Amino acid sequence: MTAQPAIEKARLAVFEGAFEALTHAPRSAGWVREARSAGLQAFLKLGLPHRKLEAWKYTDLVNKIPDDFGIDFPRIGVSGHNGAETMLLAEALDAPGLWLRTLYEPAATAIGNLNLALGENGALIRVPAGARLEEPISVHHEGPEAGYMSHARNLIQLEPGSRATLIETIKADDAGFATSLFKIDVQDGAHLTHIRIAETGAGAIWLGEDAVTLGASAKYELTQVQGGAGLVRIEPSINISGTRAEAHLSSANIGAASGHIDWRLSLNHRAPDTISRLRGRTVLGGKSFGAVQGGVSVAQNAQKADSHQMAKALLLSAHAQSVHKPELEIFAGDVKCGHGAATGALSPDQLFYLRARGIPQDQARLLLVEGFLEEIVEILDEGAIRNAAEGALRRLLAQALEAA
Amino acid sequence: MLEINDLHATVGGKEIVRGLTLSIRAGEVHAIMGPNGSGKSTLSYVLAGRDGYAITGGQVLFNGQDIRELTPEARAALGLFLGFQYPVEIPGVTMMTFLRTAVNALAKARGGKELDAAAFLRKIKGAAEKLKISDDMLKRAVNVGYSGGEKKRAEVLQMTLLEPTMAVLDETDSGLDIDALKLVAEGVNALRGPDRAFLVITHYQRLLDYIVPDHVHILAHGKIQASGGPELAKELEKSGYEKFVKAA
Repeated sequence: MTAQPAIEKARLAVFEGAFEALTHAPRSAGWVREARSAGLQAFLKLGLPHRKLEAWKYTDLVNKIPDDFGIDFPRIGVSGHNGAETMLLAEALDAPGLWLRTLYEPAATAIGNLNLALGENGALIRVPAGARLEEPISVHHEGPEAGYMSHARNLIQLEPGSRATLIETIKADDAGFATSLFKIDVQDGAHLTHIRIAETGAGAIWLGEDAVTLGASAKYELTQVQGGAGLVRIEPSINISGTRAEAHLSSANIGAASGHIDWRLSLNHRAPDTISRLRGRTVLGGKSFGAVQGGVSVAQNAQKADSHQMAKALLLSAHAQSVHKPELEIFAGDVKCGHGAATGALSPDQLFYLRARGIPQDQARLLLVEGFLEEIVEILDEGAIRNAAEGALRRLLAQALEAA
Repeated sequence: MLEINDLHATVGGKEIVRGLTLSIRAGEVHAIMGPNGSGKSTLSYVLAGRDGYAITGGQVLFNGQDIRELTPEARAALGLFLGFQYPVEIPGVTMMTFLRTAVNALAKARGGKELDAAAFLRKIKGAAEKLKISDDMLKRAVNVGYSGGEKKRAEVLQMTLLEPTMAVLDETDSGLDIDALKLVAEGVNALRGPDRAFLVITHYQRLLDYIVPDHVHILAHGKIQASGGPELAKELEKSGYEKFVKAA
């Protein structure tokens, strides 16, 4: 590792200071403190991720994170528990049971280590074996105030044969910096539907990491609506470890003004007969930037793995920029791995057709963009969740079209 | 209703319409026939106000109003309708949503009342049935995966619901078999009336057997070369366009 420049060292001292303040909190039991301390040391050693790292090629964190900020307690609410056990990490840390150890394993990334060290709150959810939750579980997460950072760690466990829907809403309006980690364990035959709606305002920085593990015949479906004028980089890493497990990931990425959306995925096929699907639809207005980086790796034993990814982008402004980067790493012989990408502007033919029918230009543009994103939204069952996703979509699109 | 005087129009800097004059009164059906490249489609786009189709000279009056500077949506609100030769596919937007959005946009622009979903369904039902447009087709994305006949029937459905006073139909017959052609023509004929006029643009006489025009014009080199009654179309069928193209 190359030596860190002085400015970087000074900045890292802010994180160190924040950690000092935290570890004196009585709620950190010995083994938790040790794990967190190890996280901090690992983070300080590597520093903030920079663009020379392939994974961070499109997000320049070093020049976007301010030199100094206070630490904020993550504002998280969990509701809708019928049939599931839920609690907040802050409560659990008062008397951390050994079951919590799974959330304190060493992290592999800089953000993961930072989050491990400083994570003070989050949602802990366990769905018992065979339970089929009728109502979705909601996790609402408010971003920190301007000048502050917050770090959340969340644990979702679906025991064998269970079924649940998780709706996660993120609202980060202010120029704060947040990291959020989800450790998700979908055990044999379980099925998790995860809807994530992340809206960010100018100056906000939201960095997420999902570490998902799938058991045999498990299914994980993630549908996201994310973007705004802030920086959002949520990185799902899915270990498809059980035979016949499936991961379906879809995201509507909508950028406005100077918004920055970096959707990077690692889909790791680790067992035979596994399926992964990735669908990205990006709409960019203003000077916003969007990247979809679909990383797929297929281990040698993962014969008959079936993976496909398709990413499309619609640029509403000449100053917006989109990148699609599939990364395939295949060690098995008998697999199907496909990918495709397309980027374009709104079609003048389509616009004229709608306007010739009397639909005013702004409304015609909105209709076309909504149509472009429909493939993401139509995955969701009609009802409250779909309405919530469509509501967020419209709010984000209004900004994107305005800035365009 | 529609007065076109010495119209000149360019596409990509090239003059395609060169001094076209045409007058259509309420209740009339006019047909414009012409060979490929004569300026038929350009004329329809110029009338509807498509970007990139620049009027460089002459006048276009719709009910006495100069519409040259109006947006396509403003022209539609005034009662002008263009039936497309190639209806455009719009993925992700159902025909139902599209129709309702258009009907309500026009209602708003014309000072009428917007319809809720139920009222709109009632409005659309009879019209769709007459054109043999199924509910399933209405739930599909606009023109996506439609057959040639389905696309043109959907154009006539749009025309029926949007209640224009002047409809320009650009090669509505292209790509249609005889059954589909009859169905489309019936849809058009059902809308004929004393307050409404049609400009039917076609390459072939065949369509005019089903939509019988009051006046027929031959277009070549961006200009009307000859005008007459329905017999002119029949004559054309025998002799071809050659003499009009040469005469120009």
